[in-house]
Amino acid sequence: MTGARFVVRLVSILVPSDRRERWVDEWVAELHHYEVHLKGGGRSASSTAARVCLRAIESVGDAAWLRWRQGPPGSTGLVRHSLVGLVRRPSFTLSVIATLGLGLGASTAIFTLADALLLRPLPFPEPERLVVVSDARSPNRGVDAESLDFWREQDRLFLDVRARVGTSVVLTGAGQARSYRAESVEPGFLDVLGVRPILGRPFTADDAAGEARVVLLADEVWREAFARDRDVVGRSIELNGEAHTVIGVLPPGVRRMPGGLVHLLLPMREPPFARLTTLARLHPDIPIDVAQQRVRELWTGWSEERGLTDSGQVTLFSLDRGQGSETRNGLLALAAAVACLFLTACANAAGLLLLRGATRTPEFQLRAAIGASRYSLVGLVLVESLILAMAAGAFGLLVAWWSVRGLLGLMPSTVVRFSYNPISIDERVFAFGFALTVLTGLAFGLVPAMRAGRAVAARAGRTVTASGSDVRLRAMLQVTQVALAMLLLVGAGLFGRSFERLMDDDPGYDPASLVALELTSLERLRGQERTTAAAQALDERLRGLPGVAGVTRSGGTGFLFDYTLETEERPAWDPPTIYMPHQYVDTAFFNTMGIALRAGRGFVASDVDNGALVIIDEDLADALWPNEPAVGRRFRTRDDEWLTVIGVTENVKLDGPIEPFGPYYIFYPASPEELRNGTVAIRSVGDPRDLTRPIRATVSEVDPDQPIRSLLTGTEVTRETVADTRLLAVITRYLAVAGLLLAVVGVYGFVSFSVAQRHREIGIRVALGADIPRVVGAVFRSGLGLGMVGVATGLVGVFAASRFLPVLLYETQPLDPLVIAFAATALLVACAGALLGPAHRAASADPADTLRSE
Amino acid sequence: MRLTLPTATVLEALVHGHGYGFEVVEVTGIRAGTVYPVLRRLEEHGYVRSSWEDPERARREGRPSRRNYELTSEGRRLAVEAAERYPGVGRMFGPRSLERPADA
Repeated sequence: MTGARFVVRLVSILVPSDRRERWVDEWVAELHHYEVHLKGGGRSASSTAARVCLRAIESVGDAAWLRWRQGPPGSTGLVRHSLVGLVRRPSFTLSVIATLGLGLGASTAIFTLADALLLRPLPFPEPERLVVVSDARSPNRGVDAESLDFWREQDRLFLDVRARVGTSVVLTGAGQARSYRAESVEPGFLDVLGVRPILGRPFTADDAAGEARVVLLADEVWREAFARDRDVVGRSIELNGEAHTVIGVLPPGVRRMPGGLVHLLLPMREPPFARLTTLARLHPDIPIDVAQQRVRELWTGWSEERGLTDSGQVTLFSLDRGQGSETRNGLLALAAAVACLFLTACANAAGLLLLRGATRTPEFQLRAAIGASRYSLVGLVLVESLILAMAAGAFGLLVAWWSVRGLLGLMPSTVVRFSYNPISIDERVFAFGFALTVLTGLAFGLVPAMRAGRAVAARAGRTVTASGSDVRLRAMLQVTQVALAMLLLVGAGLFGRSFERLMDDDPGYDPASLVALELTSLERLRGQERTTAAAQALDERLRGLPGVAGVTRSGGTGFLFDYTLETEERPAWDPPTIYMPHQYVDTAFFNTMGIALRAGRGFVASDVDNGALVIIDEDLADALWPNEPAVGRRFRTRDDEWLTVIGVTENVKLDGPIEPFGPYYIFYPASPEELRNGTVAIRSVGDPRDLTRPIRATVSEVDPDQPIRSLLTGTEVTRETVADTRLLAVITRYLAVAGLLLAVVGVYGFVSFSVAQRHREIGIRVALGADIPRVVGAVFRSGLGLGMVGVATGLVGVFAASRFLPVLLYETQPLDPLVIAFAATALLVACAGALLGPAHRAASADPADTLRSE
Repeated sequence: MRLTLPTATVLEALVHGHGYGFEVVEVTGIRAGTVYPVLRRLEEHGYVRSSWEDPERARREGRPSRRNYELTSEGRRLAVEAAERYPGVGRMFGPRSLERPADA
């Protein structure tokens, strides 16, 4: 509670001195009680400390009230004086509040995301003991259903092993049909996770065996579809057209399960597939690497015993957060960038406070001369700094709230939706940033106050120059700001270039004039025939819409996973990529998508029944038959039927420029029946955004109950695939602009203050015959000198950071000379711009003025 | 003195024998930064009086000593008025106790 106690002591300065001691006692009792209460609730020490700190900050209201009740200020009148002082210098006050508030808000927002997505432990007890037992190639391959009991028997290794299968269901009978993601799990699955429903009960063995169908709701569905109705337990709801009884509601923390986002849990009746994904809880006494080793040995033994060849390897995967390394590295880079900005903001505010302190030296000396105690001078600065920090904190909280919302919009939707932890402003991060803000305010506000307190009031009223150490300190702060701004600018330049290259990349089709429509499949409710009819009716209506140049359907991208290819000319060959997407398409596909055929022909309706005809992309054609025509040739994946190539398209990147599934594509012809649940792509004559409204209207005209899963323009789809890079590019751009502005404001402040201080000296020099260009030159030299030292320091930082950047960049060098040159020039030009004002003032120094003022 | 909703709620908490500031914060759910100024205002107007517990006792129990607030007879009258003005507040706490229970 030390931190919270410190806050209360600090705030107590506001309380009239006769009541101060008792006031502190009462708040300490309050905080003590709150702390005991929080600890009793099982909170972690850090969370408790942060909450108690926030409670301590509430004491400001109480203290301010007491101060206000005291009536007109007494001998010190700290608060009123401070407020008056701040209001009288609005530009100083607003600059500090804006600078610190922006820095604090941006940092809180980014760290909030990093914390939720990367740092905070998964919301299950002892999450490090949760593992997925699976084929060694991927945790999604799972194990075969037969071996499940074998793994369950290993009770010295696992406390329990349970299977799960992801599925999707349609909820009907409550307004428009809604599609939800469900997990079908074995009873006992929730015990493995360590989760209990907050309402109702978990599944039992009877639920999986009995006649009655039951379901558990996740918090999100309970909130959205049932308005948190506590009587929902026992109610019957219709899933895929069958009545299910709600038996419970999951706690709000459980928004995601190992398989992905979860809305509903269903009991697994009997294993629906030959392979099942698993979740196991390791025995507490077994370290994970030992368990890993044991699992391999056990599997080899079991396979041999059963005479299985080719049974692969089984291993343990720890339950990860489901975020790719790009997101991880991206967020870490952002955290670093935002830390740079926060430090810039602190350095800037520190410079402003030092400057203000220096200009107030005469005031302090005057106050000291007329009897103000050192305590009251220090108190004045302290209260002023506190007020500034509080205001900056409040502003920062607003900025953080707004930024988190903005950031969520920029993040890849999968990252946000698949986060285990809910993403909301984290009080610990905010408390930390706030504490740093207050400390900056106090530390740099106090330096001049202490000095003033010590000063003898001999020269009161005379203009004084700041001490040498003061100037050095401010020069250092200035250099730091420029250096940090340099880092931010280079970062923004690199990510911006990288993003540009990604977006400029030729995807092999024309996303700019396309709209992609995905519908929730109602086939389980309506049957295949009605679904096909509805799909055809919809396509027909869409084709008739004004502004539509074409409509095509393509079927859910399947993958060949870990495949081997062979041609008639060449024996088996393992391509370097482990996936190969294959897509089922209709005859209009290539035309509508704007994919050019390099050789051969497109599909015609009769190709569907004609057996194994395919179209492949140029990458695959080159890989199979380098420098030879591919049309008419045959290839196959191991032991499959031979496929004849009838056409070759240009290189396509349908899954985004990064090509997450490798460069090879195979297209198969498919009939309208086969494509009834496929994605609809609509080609627009004009701006595709104009089509989204009529498309929505058409969908609901054809079938009012049909939910739309997504409706995005082609550009939006591409953006989504490069969202990680885009996020970095957009945010670092903002951060860099903010950093540049702060640095420029800092340089301006520094130089104009020193010009103001040297006004007399400059005046005398001019009187003695110094020429104006020399005076102006001196101003530029001092300002640009600072800028150059800053840029050079920043460059050192850029070199140091360049080691970590390549993974985040696309076709861009981390030490891109153009970007570095641009950043350095931009900074120096901006600094030079900031010097124009002070240089003008120096040049117009009138010696007569100077002499008069002496 | 204005009889605001927070004031009425704090009065009701005091009627129900929650005499420490932190207790009032806990049972009412109002922020500490609001509760304490309300208590101070009530005390200033004579609706509430406060006393500090024996520091020796707090020391024995290893915690800071507490300040206890108690309604004066004026305060009780104000509490009745508050309950009439804000009938919902009374329902937060259940039946009223007429006397403050002895300090446990």
